[in-house]
Amino acid sequence: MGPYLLRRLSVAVVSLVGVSFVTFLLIFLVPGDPAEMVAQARFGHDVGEREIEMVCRLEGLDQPVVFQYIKWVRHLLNLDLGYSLISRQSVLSLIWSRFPATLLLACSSLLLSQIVAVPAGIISALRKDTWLDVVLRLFAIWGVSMPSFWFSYILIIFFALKLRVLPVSGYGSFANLVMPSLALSLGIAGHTARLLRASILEVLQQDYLNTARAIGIRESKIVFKYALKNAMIPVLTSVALQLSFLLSGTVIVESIFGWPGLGKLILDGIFTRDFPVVQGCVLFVAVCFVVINVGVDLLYAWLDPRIRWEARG
Amino acid sequence: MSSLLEIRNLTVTYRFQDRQAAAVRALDLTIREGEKLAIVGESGAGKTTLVSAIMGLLPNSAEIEGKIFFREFQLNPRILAKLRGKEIVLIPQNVHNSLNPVFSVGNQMEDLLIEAKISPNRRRRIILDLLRKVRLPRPEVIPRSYPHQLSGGMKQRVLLAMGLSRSPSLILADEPTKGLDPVRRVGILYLLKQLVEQRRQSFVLITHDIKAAVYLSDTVALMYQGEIVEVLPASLLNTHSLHPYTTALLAAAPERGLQVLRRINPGVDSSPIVGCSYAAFCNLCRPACLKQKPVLRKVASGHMVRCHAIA
Amino acid sequence: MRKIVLVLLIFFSLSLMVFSGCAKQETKLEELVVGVGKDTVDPNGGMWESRGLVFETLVTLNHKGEPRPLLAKRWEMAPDGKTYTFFLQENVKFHDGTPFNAQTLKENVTKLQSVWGRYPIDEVEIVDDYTVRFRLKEPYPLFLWHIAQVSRGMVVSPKVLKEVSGEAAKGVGQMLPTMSEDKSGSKQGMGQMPPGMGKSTTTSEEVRITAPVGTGPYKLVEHVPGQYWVMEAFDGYWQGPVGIKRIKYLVIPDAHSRVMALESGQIHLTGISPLSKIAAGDMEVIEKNKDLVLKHEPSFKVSLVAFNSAKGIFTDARVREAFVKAINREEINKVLTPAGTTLDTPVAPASPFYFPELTGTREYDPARAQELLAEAGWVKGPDGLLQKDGQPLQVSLIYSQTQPEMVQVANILRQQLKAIGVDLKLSSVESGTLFASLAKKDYDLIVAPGIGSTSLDFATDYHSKSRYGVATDKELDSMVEAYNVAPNFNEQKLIAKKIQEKILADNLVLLFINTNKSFAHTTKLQNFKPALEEEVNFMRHIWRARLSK
Repeated sequence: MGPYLLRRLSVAVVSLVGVSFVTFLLIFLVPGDPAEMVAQARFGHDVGEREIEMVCRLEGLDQPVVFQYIKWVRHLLNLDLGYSLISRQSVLSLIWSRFPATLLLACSSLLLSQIVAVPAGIISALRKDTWLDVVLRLFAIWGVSMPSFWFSYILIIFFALKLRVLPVSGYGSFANLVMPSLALSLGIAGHTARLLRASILEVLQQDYLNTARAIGIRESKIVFKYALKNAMIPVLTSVALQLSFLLSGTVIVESIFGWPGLGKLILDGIFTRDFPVVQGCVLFVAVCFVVINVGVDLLYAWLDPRIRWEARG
Repeated sequence: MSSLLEIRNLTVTYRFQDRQAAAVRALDLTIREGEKLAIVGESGAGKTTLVSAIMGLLPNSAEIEGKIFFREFQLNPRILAKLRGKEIVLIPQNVHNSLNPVFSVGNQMEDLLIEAKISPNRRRRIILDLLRKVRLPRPEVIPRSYPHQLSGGMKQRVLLAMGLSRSPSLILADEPTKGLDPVRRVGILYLLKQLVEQRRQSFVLITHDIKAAVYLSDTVALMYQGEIVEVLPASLLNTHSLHPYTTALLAAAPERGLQVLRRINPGVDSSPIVGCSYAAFCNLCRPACLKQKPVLRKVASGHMVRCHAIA
Repeated sequence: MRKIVLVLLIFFSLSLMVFSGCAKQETKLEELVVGVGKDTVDPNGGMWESRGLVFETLVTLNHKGEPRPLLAKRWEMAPDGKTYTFFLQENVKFHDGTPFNAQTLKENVTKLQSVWGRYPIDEVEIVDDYTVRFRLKEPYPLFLWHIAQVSRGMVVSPKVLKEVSGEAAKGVGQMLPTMSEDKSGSKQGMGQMPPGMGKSTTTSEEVRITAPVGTGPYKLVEHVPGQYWVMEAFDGYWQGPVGIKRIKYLVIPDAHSRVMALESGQIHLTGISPLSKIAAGDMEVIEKNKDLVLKHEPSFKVSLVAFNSAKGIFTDARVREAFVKAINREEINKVLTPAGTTLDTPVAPASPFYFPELTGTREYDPARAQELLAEAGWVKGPDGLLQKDGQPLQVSLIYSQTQPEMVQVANILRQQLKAIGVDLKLSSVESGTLFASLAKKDYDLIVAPGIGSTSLDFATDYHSKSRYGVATDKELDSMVEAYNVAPNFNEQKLIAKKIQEKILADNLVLLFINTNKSFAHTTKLQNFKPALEEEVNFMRHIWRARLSK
């Protein structure tokens, strides 16, 4: 496990460097002068050359991009992500203040989606081609194809305007969490249900299930222990990856529900060319991705002993 | 000896879209308590289908006609679910995919014993006993191991151990030496002989290996195109076989000169056969063979043949 | 399996019960909840959007755009236009108890350069406790109009004006509430300096506002960054008792969600700043709702759909004139109304420099438009589009996604121009890109935000040195420069008229669009009138309003 982990981590570091460099480049490649945007955000729209130049000098934006990148990396190695050019808050504290909201939403959406999807997938597979299966599959496709923002509005209209049981927007109480979680969980639930169904069906055809039957293991155990563990493996890895996507900030849902998460932070940072914020957030998200991916690999190895031994060898 | 398993007029047809294939045709077979029977035939003759039908493990695309009785019970899915593992056991053919890859061997064996409601402590002891019985080296390591860590031969022995764990009345072994090299094959056969001899269990061996059939069983039945064409004592197989197909099969063995075996390729043709299924290749064929299907007739004590020319 | 379904059902029914228990939609009635699109209580902007509730100015403007007393009860201007004498209100106190008088005003003017530094102030003389004389270096005719705007004329308690220099100037900071109920939990503590705002004329030493302490009717009491902030009425407000005791600004980034929150009763008021715009599509919904009120109030703001007269096709004046004549403004007005309208002159009717006699010079005349284009050498090609020397008459219009009304306008423009054979390509970009194109003069047609008009400085948009200006005409430049140094109001007005005449005669702009302030609120909110002079802070007079049951 040791050398395996080491290899994974070194690959991770390389990809982190790549990601951060490309992001850095992009801010400068995108049309619009960063110094200008920052000056506007600080001083109002009627900026003149002088303000822009001052900002440029103060923040070192006149240096070549590579130098600026290296400076950023040096700060990074001291665990300093810099300050927002607009609000002057430390990027780390900005991320820290927004991340819990995103994490909460991500986890609750994921949980909700699995609670719905797992039974649906199992029922769908076991009652294959019955009307129940058809209905569940239709729901799954609907869930996957429905855009989250549209569904969000539908939820608001139904729960906030018609039934008046939930607030439209905000953060803080359980009631605020319901609709955004529902909106996000839908796509994941649909995807998971379909994946699980396919996986179970494939596993059901395997010889070892018949063998288990032949030696007398009862059917319920065959489905819920023997078949399910095998079927869950691809599904679990897919779900863990979904978590990565959720953590990177689902901007639209966050905007609609006024959820103070990471997604909106990154978006605002991009529009105002607040590159320390964008860099810091992207790096943070990339780290999350890496951690989750390594976690998924470990999870996979733990679940499927065949992988374990391959990894070792 | 009373009858343990009675198969009456069993026909199994596989349907796939608009095509169908009959794997077993109007088969009758009776197995008595303590009987050691070998069913010999080529791959595709319908042996595995027969065994799966007995176990109730046929896929959904299969249609069954006929009846099977175990002791006094007519078998149906509900009864089979109770009998499997306890009274009737199948030791499967495909060794490599027969064990669940994500659970340890011990875990899977324990599951078996859990069904029998055996306490945790006894379970562990029983597992080790069983593993020893099937002559696995270092049996204490096996329970922790995963299937992919074991060789084919070891997996076969584990499956055997699992099959024997609850002392079933009827053991069906489907090609237990398939895919094993000659050395291992001998080992398994020897083991089987020992295990089988010790008990009063009925044992049905499915094989295409004639020597194994003779070695392990008292009676041999030959299957061709889903039908039993000859039944005779094992000791008489090599010398006193009568059915033309049996003769041809024996002649095709390497030691006998590998004579080309002329017959319908098993499993390919699916159309119902009029008359004798072997007619086209039989050197004893006469007009009646083409028009009317022969029935199994007794020609001597313990010897039956399905042939117009002979019986 | 049945067990799982059962468990699920129990879970969901339990959840539903919990949800309905959590229903708490109607906010307390003494609190006015305002839906805004962004948290602007940031250290740099210093409470940008609600600044008008905390800080006040010497004068304000009435609905006709005329200066009216506020912190200054009356004033006198010397004939040379360089001296202003203000007589201050006498019973005014800042939130922290400091009295507002000539002394504190002078401290503001001399120290708070980010606000007062833009004016050519030579000297501030304290005549007596409540009389201050400003001596300007040169005449500044719009002085009163400019200082009427909160960001350009606010008065802050001297106790919170602190000097900051060097590295600390780049430091981290945040405007702190007067009561430390700051729930943000961030690591910013007391005593750290926030950076300044506005144009700074000094680089290494700046005076910063360390806390929002003004003379206005409200104080900031709570701020949870990114989510909401709360203002409470100032007990000793000099103009009298404040009608609404608490105002909560709730951050709802999505425009549709804001309207839905208004409908559901979660908020009472929205649309009160450019960052909280109401989407055109939602306006109908609000109008149909009898518990809600949608209002469109006049503003100074004029956006310009401007030609690039320096490069490309539009260097030819005939082409510009042709385009202007090809547009049927009635059609455009139909989609803009009531949130806005097209104008015939460069300034809005509410502006002091509005000349009604200049309207009517831009007639819809497609026939004449085609004649002009033909004169300029554009001939109809085989596909119906005009071309010259094999090149089709193809121009692009750049507009920003933050100007949603422009989508419909742009489409109408395209159709109308197609009718005379012009291929108009539309390019919707994000605002950073728009400003970049505007600054680099890299466009054919662009929707310029008309920054000058908002600051009552319409002429700056037409000076070639203006970064986001739309003209590069030397004659116009000298006119604008003369306008900037006009000795008095009437002379400035004359020059303003000449500038406008030239802009119209030269057809520098295709469309002038005056956007109203559109906002919506519940019928429970009564007696609220937005401030005309403010683009962003137009809630400053809300203290007179009432929230009924």
